[in-house]
Amino acid sequence: MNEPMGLALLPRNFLDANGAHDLLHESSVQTIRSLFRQNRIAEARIEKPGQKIPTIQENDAALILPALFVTNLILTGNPHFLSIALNVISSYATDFFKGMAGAKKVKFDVIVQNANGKGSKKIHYEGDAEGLKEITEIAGKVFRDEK
Amino acid sequence: MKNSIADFRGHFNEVVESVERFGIFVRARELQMQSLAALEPLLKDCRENKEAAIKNLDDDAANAFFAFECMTEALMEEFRFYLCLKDDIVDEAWDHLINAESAASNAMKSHKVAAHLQSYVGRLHALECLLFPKPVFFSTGWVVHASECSICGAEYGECDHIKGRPYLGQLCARIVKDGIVREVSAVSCPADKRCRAMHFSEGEVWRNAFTHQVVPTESVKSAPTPRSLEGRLM
Repeated sequence: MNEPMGLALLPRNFLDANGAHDLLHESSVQTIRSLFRQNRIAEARIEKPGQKIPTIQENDAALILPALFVTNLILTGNPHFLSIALNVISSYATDFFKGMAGAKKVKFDVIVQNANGKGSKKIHYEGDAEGLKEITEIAGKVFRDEK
Repeated sequence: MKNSIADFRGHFNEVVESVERFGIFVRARELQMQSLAALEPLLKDCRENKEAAIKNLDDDAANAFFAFECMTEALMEEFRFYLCLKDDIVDEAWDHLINAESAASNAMKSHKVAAHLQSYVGRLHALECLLFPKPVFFSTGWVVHASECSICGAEYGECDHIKGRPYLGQLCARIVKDGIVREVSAVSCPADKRCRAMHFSEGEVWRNAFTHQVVPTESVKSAPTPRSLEGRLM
């Protein structure tokens, strides 16, 4: 496995897996990767070339998004990059719930690397698709407060 | 192409307006059956126009006619739902209502001609909440090792098609090719509302989860059928 760099999509159990063979991506990861590719958002994959992490598909109505890891270099050098990525994700979530009635819950984690490059902070979001847009500001605030 | 989207919309609205006043539970059974029959040729028209648009590689028109097709299916399923309720076939009535909700949702995902359906979706959801007790739903958790795109057959995620988006008259889906069931959970909001507990035991007898009528043990034991393995459990 590669160390998470830049902007990376992390498996669900990245922090507590026993090894690479235990890792499981959220089933939405492939869709988000396609959308990133189409919107020219460069994702640094943690998988080495040819390596594949299985996905976990839970047939619940909630949209569970893969955790998004952002390094301090992106947050200092190109903060708009995170904003664009989150807009793409937010727009997908809105489409996902189109025509659906009842609860429309999104679960999403953003992991922001600390300013000194050591350690990170996790933002856990559970709510509607609209609220996803606010994460950019929250991530920026978490990073600035850390500095 | 056989018809333009605008021309077809006129014809579609005309047929729908002639039947929609019967889309209320208390309307006469025979009028609802006639409405269902009146929608059959409309469904055929939608499909023929969609096929013509697909043949012409007209993505927008194919998606629009697919949306018209889904809207027609939603209405037909709604009528089937009322008819089943009147016949006291409650489990089937539930399935038809959920199919109507899915068809309306697919229409909205497919094209802007169905953008106005949100209140219709809300109405179907209200019927679900008012007429049925909240079922115990199930959700299966799968570990997926390989899946493919329903549009192009490539490994899902490697092509540019996005699950739930329309492409030349069909919605993209991710087809699991290699997966293992990891768990079955009881959930309050499942992806598929047909995946639910259908019976419960009370002492020596089994009862239908909706009607509470006693059901023969053999019919409980015979479930799930092959169909139910896909759509429902228990």
